[in-house]
Amino acid sequence: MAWNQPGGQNNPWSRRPGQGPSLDEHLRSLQRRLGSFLRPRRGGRRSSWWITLAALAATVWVWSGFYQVSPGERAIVQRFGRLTEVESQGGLHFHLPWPFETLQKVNVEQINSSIYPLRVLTRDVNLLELRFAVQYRLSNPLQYLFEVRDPGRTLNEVSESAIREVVGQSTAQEVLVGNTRRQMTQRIQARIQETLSQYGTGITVTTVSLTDVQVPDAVQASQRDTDKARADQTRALEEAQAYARSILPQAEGAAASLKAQAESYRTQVLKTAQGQADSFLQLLDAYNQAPAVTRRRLYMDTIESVLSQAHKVLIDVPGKPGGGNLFYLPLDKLLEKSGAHEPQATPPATPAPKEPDVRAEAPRGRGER
Amino acid sequence: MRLRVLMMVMLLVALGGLISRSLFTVGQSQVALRTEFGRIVGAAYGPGLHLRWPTDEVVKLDRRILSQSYTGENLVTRDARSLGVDFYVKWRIKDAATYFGATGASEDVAGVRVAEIVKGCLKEAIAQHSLEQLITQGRTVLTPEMLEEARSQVGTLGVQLLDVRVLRLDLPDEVASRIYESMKEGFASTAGQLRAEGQGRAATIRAEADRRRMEILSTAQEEALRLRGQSDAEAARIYAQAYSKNPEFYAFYRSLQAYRNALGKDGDLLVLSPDGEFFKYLKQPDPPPRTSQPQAH
Repeated sequence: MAWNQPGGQNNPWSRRPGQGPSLDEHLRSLQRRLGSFLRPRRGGRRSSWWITLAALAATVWVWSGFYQVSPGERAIVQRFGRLTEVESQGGLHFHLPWPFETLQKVNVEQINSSIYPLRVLTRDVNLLELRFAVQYRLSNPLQYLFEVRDPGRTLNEVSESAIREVVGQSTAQEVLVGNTRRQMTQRIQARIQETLSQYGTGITVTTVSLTDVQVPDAVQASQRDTDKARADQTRALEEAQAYARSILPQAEGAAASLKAQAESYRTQVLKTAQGQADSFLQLLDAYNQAPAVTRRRLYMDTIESVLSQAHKVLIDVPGKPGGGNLFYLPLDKLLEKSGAHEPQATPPATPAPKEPDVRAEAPRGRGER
Repeated sequence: MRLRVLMMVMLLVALGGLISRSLFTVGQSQVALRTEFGRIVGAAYGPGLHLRWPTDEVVKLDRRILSQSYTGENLVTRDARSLGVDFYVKWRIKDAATYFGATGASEDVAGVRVAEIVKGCLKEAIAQHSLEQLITQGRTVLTPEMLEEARSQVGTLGVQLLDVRVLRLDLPDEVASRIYESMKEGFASTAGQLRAEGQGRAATIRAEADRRRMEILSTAQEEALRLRGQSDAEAARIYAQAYSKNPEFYAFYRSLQAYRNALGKDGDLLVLSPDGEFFKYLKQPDPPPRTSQPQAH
């Protein structure tokens, strides 16, 4: 170049004698400054500080591009917003840092749970306080991120709607009883899943369970009374059965004693009969050996005993029977005398069939005192 | 020196600004349209990086399914009762240009317009049914009708209506009270029934036990009487067997017993004439003359 020639006299841009610093000099000083800026200068604190800062920033920036994928995770990479990669393999990966590429991670294996406490109307117009648990998985991460806004809220709305719909078609009894309850929760799950898939939320419901059932507060007292009624019923039955259990042995005991009494009566009667018959037969035997004498003896013994005890009046009237004369018997005086003695104890009862009493010709005196 | 550095930095910044104004990104869940001084020049930009003029405006719209929920709308039924209905609406932008024109890309505006349309259909549907019908059949009755009607109306917004669902029916207080009362009655009647049943069955058990007891006792009594009867009969047989060996002697013997028991009592008074065998020797000690009559009496 012409102006680079040593001497500088051929430089068309060279300054005229007497003017300020030439452009050439300006450029040179600029070059010098840039050079000193870029070159690491020993002892130049300010420039090296800038350099290390820049180096640090660059390193951090590059570092932000590294990411790892844990088991069950999916890493979604977008370049300038557009989906470019879904990484599912474990380990360390790299993506271009912001603003070129962005990263989102979704766990597709983890089971999440949502609880819904609701007051629901059943088909037979009962209000029940229910508590449902819905467990789900984010099975399709792309749908989850890019198809529906706020899929979590969608899940809540769809779940509540499905629960009310299905419970509204069931009776209160079906909700409470075990196997129909299972069918009901399965229907709820199917309904939720159907709707979520229809919307494309990328959520898969794994289970729906009913964790608590209550009647509303206002009704709980009545329910408790029903439980009490059930207990009352059981108790009434038990009391009746206890009564039955106690009364029958009593009856059987009474029956046994009746039978025993009859048996002992039998024994007694037969033994007495046997005894009396035997004694009669023995007497008969003796009688047969000497009839007249025995007869006379017995007769005399008896009449003697009879007459000896009683008060007697002998009336010897000629011209029997009956007698022709009437005479006066002061019976009351006689009875008075006989009534001075206290009457004796009643005669012992005989087991033989009773015969009518044989009375004396005069009424028996019991004492007119 | 410092000034030059500053100038360089400013130059870099301006350059960067220009670059960023010439590009725009669209997210995976978005759709964008580009306007040139208010005029739409491109309406279907998908995800990724795109070019534009620095003077252009870019509007980014969410192309996902959007949800709006409405609570506590009090609507009137056919029988003039008021019912609160909570419901949600699922919609998405179908045509970005139409949508932009109708709503100015404001979701709030769009939401309000959609809500108006849907509420209108809901009002009509509710007004055709009675409160009872809605409580017992509710959502199955409303949803298909509402959907059909509303769908046709939202097309003008550039919006596609995907679903309308009833979230819950808010029962008026008096209806809830009535339901509680009927539930209480249900429990009360069950309780009454249980108790009555219990009493009934208990009474049956007791009656049955009493009956069995009666049965046992009367059977036993019958047996006992029969046994006694048998014993008496047997005893009579024994007596008869013995006494019939000599009936006459028995009559004599038994009569003597009777005399002894009945007559010989202290306090009895006997008025007799001294005739008969006992007084035989009273006046006549000597033996009587022999006759042909036998001796035994």
